[in-house]
Amino acid sequence: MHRAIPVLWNIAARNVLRHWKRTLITAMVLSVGIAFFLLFDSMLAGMDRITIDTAVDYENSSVSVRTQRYQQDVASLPLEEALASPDSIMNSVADLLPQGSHLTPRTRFHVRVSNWIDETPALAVAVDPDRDSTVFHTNTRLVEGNWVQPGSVVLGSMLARDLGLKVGDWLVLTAIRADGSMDAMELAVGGVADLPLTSLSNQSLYLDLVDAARILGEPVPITEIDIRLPSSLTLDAMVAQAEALAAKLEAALPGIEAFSIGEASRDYLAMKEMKSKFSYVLIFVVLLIAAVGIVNTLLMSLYSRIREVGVLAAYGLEPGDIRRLFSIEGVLVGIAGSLGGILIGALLVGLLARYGISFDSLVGNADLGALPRGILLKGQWNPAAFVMGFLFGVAVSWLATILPARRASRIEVTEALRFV
Amino acid sequence: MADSILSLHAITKVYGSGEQKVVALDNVTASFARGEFTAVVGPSGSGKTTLLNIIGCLDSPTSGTIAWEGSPMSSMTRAALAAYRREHVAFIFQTYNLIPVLDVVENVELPLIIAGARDKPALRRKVLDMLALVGLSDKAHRRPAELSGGQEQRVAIARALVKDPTIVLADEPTANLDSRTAHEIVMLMREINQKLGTTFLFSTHDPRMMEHARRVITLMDGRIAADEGRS
Ligand SMILES: Nc1ncnc2c1ncn2[C@@H]1O[C@H](COP(=O)(O)OP(=O)(O)OP(=O)(O)O)[C@@H](O)[C@H]1O
Ligand SMILES: [Mg+2]
Repeated sequence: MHRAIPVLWNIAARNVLRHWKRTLITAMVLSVGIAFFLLFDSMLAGMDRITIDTAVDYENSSVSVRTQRYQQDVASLPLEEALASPDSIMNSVADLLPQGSHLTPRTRFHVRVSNWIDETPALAVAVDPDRDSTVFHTNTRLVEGNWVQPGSVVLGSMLARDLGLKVGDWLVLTAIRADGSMDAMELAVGGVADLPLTSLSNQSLYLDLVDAARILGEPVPITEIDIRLPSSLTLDAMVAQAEALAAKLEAALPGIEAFSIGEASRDYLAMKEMKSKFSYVLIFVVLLIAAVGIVNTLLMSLYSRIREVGVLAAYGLEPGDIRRLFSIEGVLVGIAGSLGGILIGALLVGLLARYGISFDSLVGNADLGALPRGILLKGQWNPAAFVMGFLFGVAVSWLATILPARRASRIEVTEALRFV
Repeated sequence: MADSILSLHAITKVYGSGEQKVVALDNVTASFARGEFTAVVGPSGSGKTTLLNIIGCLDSPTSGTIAWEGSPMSSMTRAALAAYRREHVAFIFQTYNLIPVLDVVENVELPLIIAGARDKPALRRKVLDMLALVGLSDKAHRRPAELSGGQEQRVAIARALVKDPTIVLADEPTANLDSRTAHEIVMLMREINQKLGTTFLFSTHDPRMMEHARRVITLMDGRIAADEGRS
């Protein structure tokens, strides 16, 4: 075999440098395409991240420990299926938690809220105010007043608006106890919270477990123990960590259901896979455009160097090597463009990860239901996307060389030498 | 001929077909010996370039046979033609055709690298010898664009000689040069021919070039009209 590979690289590299303007423009198209793909991917991941984070921070926690029978009938929030001896379960759970975790008891129950004129059903969440803030972020969203304390409640902002209630006003809560009897009590509105999930904002009401004991009876039933795990770098790691803990808890505690964020967001996470496929469609379209640029550049390069091809062929360079010469040129442009792409992409993702953008400004006023509001979308780093972006860029540029390179290798030597 | 390095037998080359049919070479038979310094002359369109291309294995004849050092050329595939070129032939072109992105040394070593040379120091030594031979040792690291036409053609000659080809083919090598430089180039070729015994076959319109030839083949309408040796 007569392989002249080193000299091919030499000639190819120098041609790429010699026509650096042409190279730069072609590579830039590729770079911009890859950078946008990376930014888009990072934003999608950021959206997933805030969606799941919001569920953890305001609704489910990382792992929520309930009884199996409670979980089977969870939609009706059955108080009679509350945890049998919450204190001892709290202790056993605490022993199994990784360092840096927190846990808090919560009781959810259906209530009716009245302002003496109107009455509306709501979801009461009884909390231990101090411990609750180590697990949930509800207390950080107060727009008025203070966090829960004995005798005063915090209302979701939409619920407060529907009932025309403000801080300092009074309301009446009516609830049905585990034994079926009904009781009512008067409480002050201590705070209003704008919660990022519409469902919570519309119907949630937070009160102290002490007050819940007054309305539901002593000892107050505890329906769940909610656990926050230490934060993870990636969404996948977070979900995996929660699922592992849930499995561990279920194995250790008979009759217990540990409901992890992975389970709670199963449908959403499945959809996420589809969205990431969409981002690959996007990169494909962009790279296709870049590929057309590379084909064009190579054809221009070929046209201006037909005689050079003739000389190389006259001195016995075989068609395969001539093809390789042009392929190398295209791939060099591709490598340059892909490197540029991941550099620009890293810069954009870095800015997005550091400063974030308001999620609301992205989606406008659209009410996306399950998607959170009023939360900063931060870019997520996804090393796999960078590797993919680079490899895609190089692969596409290589594919783009096939046609021009083949054309170069098929030129008749005699024609090439006569060419002026 | 005992010393024949190359013989053509009944070579015919036809371009196109039907109305457009052109017989560029018509039943050409000739043989070339080692160390020849031969000119191919004839009016424009008489078939000089075609003849050199076929000898140079750049093109294959429509009919007829070529034998290199006694053995007939076995195959006419592109790859086989390329292999023959690597082994036997070197070219000098009217327009020099140096590779613009390579410097002088790299241009000269190119045929060796294409032919598979891997011993870098030996290769460099050979290249520098050739540059000394054509009087361009001081231009080793210039780019072609920084040379005059005559200098470019000297580099092209060094490039042709570097791999010790069986025959050097030059299609109108001086046509782009002024008469003084053209004369210097022919003298250089002749000097190399005498010193190293390299076989040269060149086409020309230039009567002054013909004078230096030891043998002149005259083509007319694709046929050999005269084949005269000189002493
Ligand atoms: N690729 C081709 N296709 C068709 N006809 C060709 C081709 N190449 C050469 N010819 C024809 O073959 C004939 C011989 O051409 P060739 O180029 O060999 O002449 P030449 O002697 O080199 O002429 P010049 O002195 O002008 O270079 C001419 O009539 C030319 O038109
Ligand atoms: Mg000609």
